[in-house]
Amino acid sequence: MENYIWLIPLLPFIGFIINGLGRNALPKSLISLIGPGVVFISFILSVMVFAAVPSGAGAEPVIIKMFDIFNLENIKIPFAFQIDALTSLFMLIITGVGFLIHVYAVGYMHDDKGFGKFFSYFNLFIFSMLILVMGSNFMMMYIGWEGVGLCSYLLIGFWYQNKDYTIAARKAFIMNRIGDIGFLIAMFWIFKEFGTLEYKEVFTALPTSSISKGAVTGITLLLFLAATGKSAQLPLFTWLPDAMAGPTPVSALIHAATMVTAGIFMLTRCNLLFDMALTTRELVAWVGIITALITATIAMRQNDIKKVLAYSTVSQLGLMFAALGMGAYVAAVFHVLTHAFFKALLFMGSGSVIHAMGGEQDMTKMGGLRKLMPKTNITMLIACLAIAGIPPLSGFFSKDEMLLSMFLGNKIIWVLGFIVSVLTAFYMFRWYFMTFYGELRNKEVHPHESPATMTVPMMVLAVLSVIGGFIGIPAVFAANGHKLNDFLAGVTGVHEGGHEIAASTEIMLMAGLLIFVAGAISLTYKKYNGKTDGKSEGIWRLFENKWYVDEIYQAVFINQTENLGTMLKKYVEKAGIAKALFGVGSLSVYISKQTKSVQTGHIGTYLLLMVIGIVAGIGFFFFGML
Amino acid sequence: MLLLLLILLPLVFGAGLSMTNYKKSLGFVGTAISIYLFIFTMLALFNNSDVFQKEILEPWFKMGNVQTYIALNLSGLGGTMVLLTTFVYSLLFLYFASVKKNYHNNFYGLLLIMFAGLNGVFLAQDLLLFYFFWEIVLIPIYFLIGIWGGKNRIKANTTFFIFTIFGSFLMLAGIIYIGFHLQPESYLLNDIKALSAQHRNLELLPVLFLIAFAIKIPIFPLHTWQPPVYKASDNFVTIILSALMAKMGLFAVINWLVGMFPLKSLNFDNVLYVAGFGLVYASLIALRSNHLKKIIAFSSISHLALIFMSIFTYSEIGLKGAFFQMFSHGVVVLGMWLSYDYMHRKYNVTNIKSVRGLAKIDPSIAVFWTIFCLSNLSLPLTSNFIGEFSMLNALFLYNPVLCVMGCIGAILSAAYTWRMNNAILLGEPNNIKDKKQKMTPVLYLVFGTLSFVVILLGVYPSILFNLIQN
Repeated sequence: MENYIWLIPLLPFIGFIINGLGRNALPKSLISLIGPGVVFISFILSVMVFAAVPSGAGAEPVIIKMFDIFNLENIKIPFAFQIDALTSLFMLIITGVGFLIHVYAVGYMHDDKGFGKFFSYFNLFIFSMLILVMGSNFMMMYIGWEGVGLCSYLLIGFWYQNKDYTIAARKAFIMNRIGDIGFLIAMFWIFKEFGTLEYKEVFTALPTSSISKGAVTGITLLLFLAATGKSAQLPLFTWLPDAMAGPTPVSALIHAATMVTAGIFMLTRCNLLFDMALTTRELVAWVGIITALITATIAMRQNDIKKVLAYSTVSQLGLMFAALGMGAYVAAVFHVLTHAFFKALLFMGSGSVIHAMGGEQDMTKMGGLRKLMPKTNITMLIACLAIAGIPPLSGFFSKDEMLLSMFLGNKIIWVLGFIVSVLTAFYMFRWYFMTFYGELRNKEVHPHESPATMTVPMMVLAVLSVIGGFIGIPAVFAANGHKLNDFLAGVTGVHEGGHEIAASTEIMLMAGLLIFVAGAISLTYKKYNGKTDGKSEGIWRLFENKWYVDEIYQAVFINQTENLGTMLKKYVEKAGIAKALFGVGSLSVYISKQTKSVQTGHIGTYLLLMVIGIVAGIGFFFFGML
Repeated sequence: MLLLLLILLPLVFGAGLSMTNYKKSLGFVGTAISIYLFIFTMLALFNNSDVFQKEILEPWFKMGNVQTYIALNLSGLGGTMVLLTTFVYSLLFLYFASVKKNYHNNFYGLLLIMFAGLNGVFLAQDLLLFYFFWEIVLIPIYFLIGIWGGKNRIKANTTFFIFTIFGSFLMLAGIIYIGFHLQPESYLLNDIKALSAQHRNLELLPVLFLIAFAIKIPIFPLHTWQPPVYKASDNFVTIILSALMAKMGLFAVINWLVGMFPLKSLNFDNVLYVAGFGLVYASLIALRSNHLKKIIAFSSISHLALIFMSIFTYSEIGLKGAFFQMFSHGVVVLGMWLSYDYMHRKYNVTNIKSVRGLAKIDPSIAVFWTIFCLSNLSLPLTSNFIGEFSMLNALFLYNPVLCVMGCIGAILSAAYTWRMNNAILLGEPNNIKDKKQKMTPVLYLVFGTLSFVVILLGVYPSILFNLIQN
């Protein structure tokens, strides 16, 4: 493993350099070979790592040091990789799903002028994300953490001629930056307490260290703040829906394989810290579930085909955070995995639809695509069933495990999680029926099925969405069925997911949820088969307008900061200090005009004045001071 | 004696050039001298053998009972700053070569005299010699702003001059006080240090130096001379001011203020809060300014304030981080100014509303400018991040409140940098003519070198840290 591990992030980086420099010179065919190609090789290597990685309870991570970033007396931070079960799993998701999205993008971006630029950014994204998960210390994670922030900025604003898109890009970066600062301060704090930023050293020292409860809570709160930025939770979630401005493959990459999962990864990586800070964990759970609920209600009332998916992502991430708050780290990672499959698939499908509709994103103009785009239709149906949690598709297993942890941890949160799950089925099937059922409402376009470069990755993901859940079969169905739990035990510990619950209760919970989900689906079939929403009233208006969160932020934070700047500029910089201090310039020009008459032109006079001045000055200085 | 070349070579040729009336441009003389001295410094610093003499110590004259020395030392902090100076000058003169507009030879001459003065400031180990060079720098800059500046240059220049002269007199008073009251054997740094450790009541004395240095950096609220001067000056003068002259102040704080006085007599916590406030303040102003030169100027004030604060943590990581950032800021800000100058000359970029969509017209400069912007907002794997990480870490250990102030600055730096970047580069091209001629190879060399250094130092900062260590 030591021999080739560095190749995994390096290959996408090389792809970035080649595609970036040769974006105009290289032919499209070569770019579409290099772009996905480097990621594919990384994927193969990741599979080898996955096969070789020590897993199970008590497994020690493999640490491979490359060189020192900091090598000072008091602070040593190496550029090093730490490979363990959690890392190798994320590497598989990033390179595997990432590769499929790359292939899809070859078809999707085929006619775009910035083809080479697009793939160079795409490769850079994979590189940043790999650094994020592969690093052996918090500094490495931060490098990737900010790196994906940059890539999202570049990709969201990819069509930079459009001003709105560039604003969305800037918003994403700054919102993420706010979270990143939390990460930065948390790092300083960890360094202060432990004198190192290496995961292994920190987590080994943790049980025996004399670190105070307040410090752990502070560190975890700051880390969680960072996670709310990257994983789009309250209060920093508003950038993600706006990030839809980027080309659709970007949405698939940001929302499924990379970026937003960073927060989940980080909390799982630091699970020992979070287990010591139960206050923070409770907050994590509440923030997660409230985000999930709010964004699920918003998703119910959006008509933009990608916006629904965007809010759905935020909502699903909220569920994962709620599970993390319960200490169910494996369940959250499990859902990251299954979610990566079906959410990437959903975005690809929406891209396929947008492609077919000639750039149209408004679902009220769609409908009836079922017959025109059979491949897209069937894969989308699978994805919707998976995300709604219909057994035995992948979403069922992961979602069920998360809900179970909430049921065991906190009944109120469980009820909310239950509602969110039902709403998920509602908004996803509303989305599905509005797009694929009924008759095409816009008669002017003639949709057609997308090319194979787009549909083949979709079919692969559809298969994965179906079978992906079988790595985590709950004990109630099969003893030792939960392979993921065993695999990750070295990272998350074995206390995980304790099923101290009667089998009958567990079955009851599943069945209860399924009944409601089925009800929601049949309701959407009635409401949206060939029909759309009428004018929103009452609470639906609130949902449609996204709870006015953006407007509130604009009024409370952005405008106020800008006003403060304007005020300082106007009343302090320009008026106050400037008049007092910059004024010395104008004042002296004025005085010199008035005192011109002293300039007699006689050198003697000048010398005399100079001597008087020096004597007076020195005299004043010494006698005044002593 | 080779060391003296760093001062004498630019001084002699500078004086010559600034007096000549020869019509044809002799800028290549500057290019040759700068590159020669850059290579010389590189070899001297990265070569540990004794081939290069790194120290000069010759008695100069006696002032009262105090001996003064021609004491120069090319190692450690000063050596790194000389490396920065020669590097900046080399690229600056290379850039001149590609600019169509010809300056008078006097202009190049004055720049070279400044070069000599700056090297002197960074090399001097004797307080009086240091002061001597400190003042020499002022003379050419006065003419450079006054003659080649733009609108409002006289007013801005006068303000600048009065500010710095005021500071210089305070420092002179401090020097005289040291000489007559403390009576060290010599004005050498080590002698003063040894003496001041014995004296307890020196509260006022460090403050004299502090004000003098704070004006040069500049630190809030003494910064008000800076934005008007940056805006009124010719771009090249602005570059020297912000890439190098601001570093004089910071260098003086580390080498002389902290060097001369024992730590305990310097309790500047209140000053640090003011500097921290100034950091946030400057960032907010940058967010609301429209002229690119002003945005970069206020951004600089904010970055330099962080360096200033970090020095007073007295920790290893704080001081080294500060030093690293001085170098890094010099490189990044040079990149930003040169890109600005390029865009200004070619596309008439002035304020953020002047031009749009430059990325489509001239992608090369867009890429370079973006790299410098990224470093300006301290993205990891660029040089500014290393500096900022070290400094904020040191501040956190020293006083978390100051660290949080710095972090707010980091958030705001993203806001104003992207605001500026987006406004100029992105959108549909507007107000902008597609000039067919591409960037010249020399420009690729200049911007490419700068980008390379920015990323190299961000990935492998040990190169610079080791240099400081020696």
